[in-house]
Amino acid sequence: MNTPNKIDTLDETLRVIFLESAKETDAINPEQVINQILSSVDIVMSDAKKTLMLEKLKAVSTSLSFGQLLQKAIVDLSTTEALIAEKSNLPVEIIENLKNDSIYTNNVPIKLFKNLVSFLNIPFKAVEESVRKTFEILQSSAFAKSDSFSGFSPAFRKGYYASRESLTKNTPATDGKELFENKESLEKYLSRLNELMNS
Amino acid sequence: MIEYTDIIELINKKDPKGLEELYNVYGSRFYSYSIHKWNLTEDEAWDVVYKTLETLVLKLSNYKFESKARFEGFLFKVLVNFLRQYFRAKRSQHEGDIEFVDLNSEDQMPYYISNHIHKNAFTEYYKTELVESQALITLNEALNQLEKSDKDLLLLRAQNYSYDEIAMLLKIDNNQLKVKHHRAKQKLLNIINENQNK
Repeated sequence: MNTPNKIDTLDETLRVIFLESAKETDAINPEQVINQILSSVDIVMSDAKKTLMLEKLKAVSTSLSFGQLLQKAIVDLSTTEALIAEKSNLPVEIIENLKNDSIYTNNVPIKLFKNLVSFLNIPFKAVEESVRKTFEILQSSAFAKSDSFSGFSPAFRKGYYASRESLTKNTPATDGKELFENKESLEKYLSRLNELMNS
Repeated sequence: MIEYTDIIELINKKDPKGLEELYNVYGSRFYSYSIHKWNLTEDEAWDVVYKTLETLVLKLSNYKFESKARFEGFLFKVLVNFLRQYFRAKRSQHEGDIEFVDLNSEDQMPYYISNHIHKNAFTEYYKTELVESQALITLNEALNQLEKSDKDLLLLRAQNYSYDEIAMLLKIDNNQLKVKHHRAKQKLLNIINENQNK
């Protein structure tokens, strides 16, 4: 690439085109490009940084999401979604969505959510960790499909097709940009939940 | 080399070896690529790689990858999403220091790219990610009219691949690749010019 303050206009355009083309699964051949990326390791990450990365990834992979926690509680208590819905005053559909990690937990009215976790007898600490993981899952889903408008990919373009990813059943109902779908809102929700569960 | 299905299985079983293999096979290379080809700092590249692998780990329970190509295609898409974020952020940060130049103007080319693209097209892209600039869209269309080998050559060279690396990746002779690159640029500019005169 050029020196940071002197950039060739054509090469910069090509870089933008490359970055944008990657949004379309059919625009470039990912197999060819990834083979290029995987072909060499010129710069090696320090052992300390590698260890830190693996530790952080381990924490992510071993913690349970709220959906997983809910599924485990249903099995442990030998209960049903219908009974949970009745006890928490939440619709069965919401219980299903929570079980599949397809909605933000902080989109559920907090008193009803408190009823839910109280009935399932899950301590706040476990709820907090799992709610955070569900939040991360939904944020990553929103990001992974965040194909914001691109002039390079008009929907009417010949040969346009919806990718398999866009058809997955577990995509969130919203696009990750609603008012409650941010860290600040999540922290407030968890703080209030803690108060309710300990009052 | 370990199969992608084995990596997924190990991660799903919460076996730390799965994460280690994921890093060895993909993460280490993504890290090198981010620094070498996109000029990210080591810390920025660490973030990009971590976020890419984290996204995969978070999505594994919801996704079924029916082939290695699908698995790697997903990883690639996520990686480029994060690379794009950092690329735009860095360019926006140094916007005042950047000078867009037409390096071809010294080569007696018949048409200059600066006749078609104004720097505002980039500054708009760095800030909003919306590619609304007609000039960028026109150039993309012209690029798609090129022969595949010329298009690949231009895109790889813009990503800082050396001519030796390009020859190896495209399985072509390195002989006069620099000249071929220059000619591919000329062809692209000719197409843009022809399209505009239609």
